[in-house]
Amino acid sequence: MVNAWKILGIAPTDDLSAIKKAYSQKLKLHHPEDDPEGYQRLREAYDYLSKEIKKQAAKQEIAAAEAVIDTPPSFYDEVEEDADEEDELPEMSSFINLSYKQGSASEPEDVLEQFLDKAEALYNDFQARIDEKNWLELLDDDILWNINQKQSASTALLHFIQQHHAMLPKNIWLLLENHFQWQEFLEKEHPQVGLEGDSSFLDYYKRRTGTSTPYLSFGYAAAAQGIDYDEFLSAREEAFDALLMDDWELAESQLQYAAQIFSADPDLLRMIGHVLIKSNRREEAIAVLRNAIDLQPEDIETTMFLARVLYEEQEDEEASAICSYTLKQSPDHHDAASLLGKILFRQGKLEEAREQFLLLRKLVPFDAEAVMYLADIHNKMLASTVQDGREYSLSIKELQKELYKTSFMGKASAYFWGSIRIKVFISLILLIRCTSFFADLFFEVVGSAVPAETLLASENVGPAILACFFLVYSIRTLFRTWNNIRISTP
Amino acid sequence: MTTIGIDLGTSNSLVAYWSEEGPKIIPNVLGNHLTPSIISVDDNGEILIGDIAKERLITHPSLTVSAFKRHMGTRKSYSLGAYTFSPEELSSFVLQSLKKDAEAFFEKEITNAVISVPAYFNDQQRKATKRASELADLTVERLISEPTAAAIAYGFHQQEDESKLLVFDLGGGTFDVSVLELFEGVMEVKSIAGDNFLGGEDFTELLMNYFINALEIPPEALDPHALSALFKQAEQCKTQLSSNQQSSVMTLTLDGTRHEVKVDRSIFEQLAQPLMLRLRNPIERALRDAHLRTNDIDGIVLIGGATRMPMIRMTVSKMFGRLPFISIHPDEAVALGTAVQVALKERNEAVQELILTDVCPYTLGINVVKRLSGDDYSTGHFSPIIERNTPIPVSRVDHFETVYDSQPQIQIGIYQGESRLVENNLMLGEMTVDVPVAPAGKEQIDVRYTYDVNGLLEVEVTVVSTGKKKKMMIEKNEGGLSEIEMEERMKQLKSLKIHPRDRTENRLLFARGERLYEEALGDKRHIIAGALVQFERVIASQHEQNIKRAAAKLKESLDQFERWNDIW
Repeated sequence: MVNAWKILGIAPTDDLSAIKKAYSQKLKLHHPEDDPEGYQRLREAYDYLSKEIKKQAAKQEIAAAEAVIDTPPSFYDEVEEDADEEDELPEMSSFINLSYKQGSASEPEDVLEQFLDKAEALYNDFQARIDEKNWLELLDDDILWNINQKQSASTALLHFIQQHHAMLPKNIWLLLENHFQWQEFLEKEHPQVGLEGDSSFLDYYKRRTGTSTPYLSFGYAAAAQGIDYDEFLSAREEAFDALLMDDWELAESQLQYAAQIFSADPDLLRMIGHVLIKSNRREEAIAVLRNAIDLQPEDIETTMFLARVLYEEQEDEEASAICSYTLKQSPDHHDAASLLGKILFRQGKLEEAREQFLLLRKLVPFDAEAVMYLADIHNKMLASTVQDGREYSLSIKELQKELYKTSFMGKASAYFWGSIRIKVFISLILLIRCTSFFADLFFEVVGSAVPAETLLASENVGPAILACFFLVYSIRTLFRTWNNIRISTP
Repeated sequence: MTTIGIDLGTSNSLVAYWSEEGPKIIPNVLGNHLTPSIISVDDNGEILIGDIAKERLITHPSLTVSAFKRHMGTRKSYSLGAYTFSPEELSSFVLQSLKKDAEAFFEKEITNAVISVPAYFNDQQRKATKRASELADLTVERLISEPTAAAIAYGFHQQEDESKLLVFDLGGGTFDVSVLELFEGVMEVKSIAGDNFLGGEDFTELLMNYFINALEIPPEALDPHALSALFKQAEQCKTQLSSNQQSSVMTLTLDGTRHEVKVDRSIFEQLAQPLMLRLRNPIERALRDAHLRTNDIDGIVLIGGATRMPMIRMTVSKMFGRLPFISIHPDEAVALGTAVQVALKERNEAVQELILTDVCPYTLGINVVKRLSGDDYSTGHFSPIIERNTPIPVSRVDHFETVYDSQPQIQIGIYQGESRLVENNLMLGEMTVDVPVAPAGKEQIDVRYTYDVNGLLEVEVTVVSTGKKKKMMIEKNEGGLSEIEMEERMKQLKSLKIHPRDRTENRLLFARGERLYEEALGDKRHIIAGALVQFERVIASQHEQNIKRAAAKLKESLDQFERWNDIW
């Protein structure tokens, strides 16, 4: 940026205040409100130059500091010289700050060390570790309030967490992410910082903090006595990640291992349920899921999971009881609504099933299953009304309407006004033309008693064949479009 | 043409103007500088704004709303009696009331205003604020960031000094940090950071929840009346703990039983600890983006009512290791700053030597597809074009190319935010450009973002090979209303009756009387009710002199009741 000096209109200098003065003078000519482009150019030049000068000043400071170590007596001279070059105010306040820091006794390294000791102590006590309150207290540590030290503390803590492959409840992961923005840090600096374990830790971290991954409860394991919490939790977490990756074998072995340590954990049991179903051991899956629900009766997802398995096992009674119960708890639960509808359909309770699917369609307007089941139900209703004379709350007409089958007049109007009408009109005109051609021929024969031989004369054969062809074509088109007719609104 | 400056706050709003002697606040009809940002509807469907509405928070909680600024730019709707209002419509009532105060002050129509918004308000929230002022028949000359406004109110006097300031603005609903440098008549905003969901109201809520927990009553069992009484108690408690009181008692009478909970400072501080921790990140980020360390900062300006809490000062001094506070009026600084901005905009002679330069608070960018390896692509990535805290006005360009062979079009999603994935950022607009058929990567486009002083973004796309250009102003109407719908809505709003300004004082007395009635018990209730009935009779007589006398008398006795209540 050789141009920068030219833009500011001054000769190169290392005096920051001269640059500032020149900038403020030029700013009046390139006012941000009047001359956006001129201002942008000026500002970029100014920012570039002041940054360069600050860089140089920092270099000089380091050199000066080294000089201080070499020759202590010249300390005061150096400082005075520096103060002339630099802004005076910040220099002064940094002195104040320096004395403040010295007043608070310990060296930065010691403070960091103490902080990490505290973190380690917290982490090693499992019951304390899962309590958000203790982490909040840790986050209130003095070192984190010191803006200039916080970054190193944050990096050190992240390193610790990574080394221990920390097992923490989700709320604490989120708390830490909110305070340290480690994800941004990992993404940005990750190749350079030398945190080992490379991107796999970032993935692990993202899964723990991501909003889309479900939360695994720590409460049940924490309530247990005398188990190896970390072994259990890491096996469970590994199984969970394996399930996310579709690695069923790893998931199964990890789940088995975790269950040996502690088995009364609903989240663990639910995952075991998934694995058992995958390997078609439904009976066992049902037993496991029942266990999970006994432990945590308010867990709707597991209960619905059980209901689906029961449905596949033809245990309609219990499945429908679960669905009804779930719907009572949360009427918007569309899985429950859908499953209940299917059960009712299978039981032949067509009217009730219909109600259920209509309800579902209100919740999820384009639920494909609901649409298909409704069509099935209406077809069945229609068939049994026509054949066995069974009566439903819907008349044949309404059923037909639901199925997009329509009356003659309705079909006729759609036929003429639907999207295919151009084809229909052309065909109709062709039809009329051909018919009139043949009619003319006919009347000519009947009316004027022309001998049949002349009719079959060569000049009439061509048009007649053509007319025949068009006649067949137009009738065929009209017939086809009639059969393909769809009415857009039931 | 007179332009006014407006501080449209979460809890309170103010209006100011530029006078010969500098910026001045315009008092409202009651003579107060602060107009509470609260709206209420009465039984006749009349809209009540400000102090009257504040009294009605207790007596008619379901017909009164406050703190709606927190939902600016969202689709939240508030139902008040027979009406349903959006946050910007509610804000427009506050703006109308301020506008009328200014018109009464100048005795002429006012049509233009500079309005302050939290620095960290995003595009949607800024547009909602603009819509609110349109609904109030005010043309927005400029939206100015609140901390910037506060800083220019301060810097206006300090033109000669060279200093670096950090403005810490904790208002009712938002938290903003902004770093400024003043030198040679230049006021340079260096960086902005913040949290749109952290403010004084959150502290009040903490106390309220603490009270509810202490009552051992499930929150669902509390009716709106009890809840708003609780809220008021919590607010009072917060104010008392912020003054020199060491402890405060919250009381609530429920079904004839009186409940009491005592809170002292240490409990409050403990409760507030999670909120205090959230103050840290924005400060760090603002300093980092400004390339400054804590000891480079010469002074810290605290604004916003919530900075009155002693723990805020403690926290800030803990972070900076010293007490470099600059005292300015925490409630009025922003409004005064908007008036200075009016003068700046009009190039008033008194501020001729002063130039303000601002930055854009958020990163602006585009969505891109990233190639991971070979044929493995990942979509939905955010590629910044204008980085946050870039000085504005600014124009930047970046190049992008086609991803696959014979790609006919390039779709451009325009986003605002800091996440690397567009799904976490705010979408501002979308456009599509056709490109000639060519192998992948052979066709390129230049995307130019131009961001002006008003915070308007213009996007220009140029297809490199053909030189074809396509331009777009980001003016998406987030409310989803078309111009016609907007006009229709404006007509509807205009037809609403707004309580006449000249009868505000008497109306406020009634509202206050009703609130005291609800808060009082037994005999006192009778006395208050009696006084109110009598006052009503005097008003019906329409005798100006008598009404004035009666009003003064009623005010005195209500004041007395208020004191009793406090002692109780």
